[in-house]
Amino acid sequence: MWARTIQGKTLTFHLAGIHNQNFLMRDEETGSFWQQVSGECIAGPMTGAQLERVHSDELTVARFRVESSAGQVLLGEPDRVGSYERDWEPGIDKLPTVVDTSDSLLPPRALVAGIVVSGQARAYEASRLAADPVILDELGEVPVVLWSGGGRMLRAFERRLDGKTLLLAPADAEHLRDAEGSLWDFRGCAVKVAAAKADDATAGPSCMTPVPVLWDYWFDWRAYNPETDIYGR
Amino acid sequence: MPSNRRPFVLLGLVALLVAVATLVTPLWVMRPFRPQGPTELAVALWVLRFGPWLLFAAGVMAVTALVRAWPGGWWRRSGAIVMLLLTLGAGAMSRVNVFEQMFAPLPAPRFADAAESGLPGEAIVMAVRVGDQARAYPVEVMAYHHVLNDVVGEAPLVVTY
Repeated sequence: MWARTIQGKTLTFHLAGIHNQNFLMRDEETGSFWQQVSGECIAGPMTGAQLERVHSDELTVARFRVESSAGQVLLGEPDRVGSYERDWEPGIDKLPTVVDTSDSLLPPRALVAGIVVSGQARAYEASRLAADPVILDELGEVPVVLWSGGGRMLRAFERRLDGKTLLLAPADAEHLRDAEGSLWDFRGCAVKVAAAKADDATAGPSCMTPVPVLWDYWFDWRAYNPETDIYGR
Repeated sequence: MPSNRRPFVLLGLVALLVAVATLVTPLWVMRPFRPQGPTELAVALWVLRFGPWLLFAAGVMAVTALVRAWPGGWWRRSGAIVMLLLTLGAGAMSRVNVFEQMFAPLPAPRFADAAESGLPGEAIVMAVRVGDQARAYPVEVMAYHHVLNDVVGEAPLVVTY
């Protein structure tokens, strides 16, 4: 998801092409072409410009309702209902790929969740996240936590607050607990602050900084993050 | 008179070739399940960007060919007219956004309250929050349309999948 105001112009995007199985968009206002996955302008008057990412999460509708009771959900077009598929991935898995990944450890259509923190890219296999729903990791000296809420629902955070690294472990289905006993909810915010910290009147709203997660096929993630490594491999 | 016939045939054919190339190049290069090298992609995008100019040039050439063929009698006129119509046809087809024909855009998105979306609780959405406005885009809808221009709060966003 990208902000579409850039250099003082608000752009209107259209689907306009394919680049190695990734869509290209064209904007009406300047006629430039943009890579959908990276937000980068690759042809036209705005070549080299970079759209600003807007943080978004893949959540279940149920989770979205809990977190944003006043939120709105996009409706599909009634005459396109036949084109919408809830379980389209099994079909996609069988489609051929055009990028060679034979020199790497994963098959091209392996589903991974990718993050980039302080310039370092890392892929987490879906199977790994399913087996290990809370992963404490470190990328370029930044401590992170990946927290799977089941299936595609995954959030990642920089697990430090005020320069202090949080040692998080599952507490119950809805919370993580840090070393001092504070509980953290799935939004990455402290809900029950440990007694030692509760007296601290200067403490603001305690939420960890979210890290964008991209669910992608390994071949595609690697094409746009050639230096990526794979967690646990 | 061969000296008179050749230029109009040649001009008409060049016009047709330019129009067909404008139509076919982007479709050929950017067809699915095919890798796109940097140079050919650049060529395809150049053709898309400057397509209107290429087609204008092709149109001028095709009309000129018809004007030249006109005095030569009905056979030549007919030949030039056919080439002009083919040129215009290829030109018109190249102005169609094939990708938007396949995956219709959503120019006027409609929204429901979170509790009334009609989706099962386990359906996956892409959720965004700007200020105090939260919006969710079901993956099953975005995986079809792929691109949605929206405004959340005061912020113009493009949702992509």
